[in-house]
Amino acid sequence: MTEKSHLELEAFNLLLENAISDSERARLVEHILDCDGCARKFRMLRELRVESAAISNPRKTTRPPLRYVLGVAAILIMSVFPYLSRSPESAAEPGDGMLASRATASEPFSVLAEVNRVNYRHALANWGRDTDLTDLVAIQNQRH
Amino acid sequence: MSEPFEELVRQYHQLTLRLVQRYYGGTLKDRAEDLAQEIWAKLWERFKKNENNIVNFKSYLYRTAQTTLWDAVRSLEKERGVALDESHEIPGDEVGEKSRLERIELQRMIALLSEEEAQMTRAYIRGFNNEEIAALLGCSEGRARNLISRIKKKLALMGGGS
Repeated sequence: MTEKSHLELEAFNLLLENAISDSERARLVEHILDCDGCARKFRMLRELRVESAAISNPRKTTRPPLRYVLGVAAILIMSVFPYLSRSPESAAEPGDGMLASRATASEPFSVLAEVNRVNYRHALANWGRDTDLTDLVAIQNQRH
Repeated sequence: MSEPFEELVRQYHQLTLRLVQRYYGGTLKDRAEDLAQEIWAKLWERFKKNENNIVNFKSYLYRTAQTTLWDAVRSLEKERGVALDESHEIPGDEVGEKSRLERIELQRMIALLSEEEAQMTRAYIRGFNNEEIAALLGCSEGRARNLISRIKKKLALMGGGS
């Protein structure tokens, strides 16, 4: 290569592949910086190299990984699960404790009625437990 | 044509075409299809010799595309009689006196920098971006970016502005 002649393809490749000694690189760099044609060719060859590398090793898609999607779905399911697991009736009608506390907050005089209602339910549920015929006879005798 | 090669053509033809179309600022756009065919013909010759070895196919593709496009640009330059990139600026001939003095002042300041800094500055003035400067000087992009930023400050202190 004389001072005025342009660089050959192989010289550019040595530069781009970083397979060159420091002194040789300095000489080639000096030429490229002094020569518009070689400067442009260097830029074009580097661009070709970068684009080829992109073809060889395509970037992963920008879609979120499946595990993140599954994680978000799991959190959503866990957050709505208590509502889904309840029957429509019970979902519409809150629990006794909840009702009692709400009644306490908004209608203090209905608390007693609510307590009575709960007690009545318990009484119905427990009817017949630990009782026998002698108990019924005793109750009958008490009424009379 | 063998089936594995046909598969490679199907897979990479559009990408090859895109490489040709974009090369050298689209200079070869009109001949892109012909050049892509030429690249595939050369690859086929190579493939026939060693059909089972397609491990390095992408490397072959890059090399073949590079040499084909390089030759195409040179032949185009010969056809036109001038270099496609003939845009040499002749200092002092067409630029104004003020610009000439500024250039001389800049050259004086660059001479005060270290060799690496001076080369980076010249590349930067030429319009090279950080990645290109890094590839040219064989350093990392981060180093090129940091050094250019430092050089700009240094030149500003010397009186050249940023």
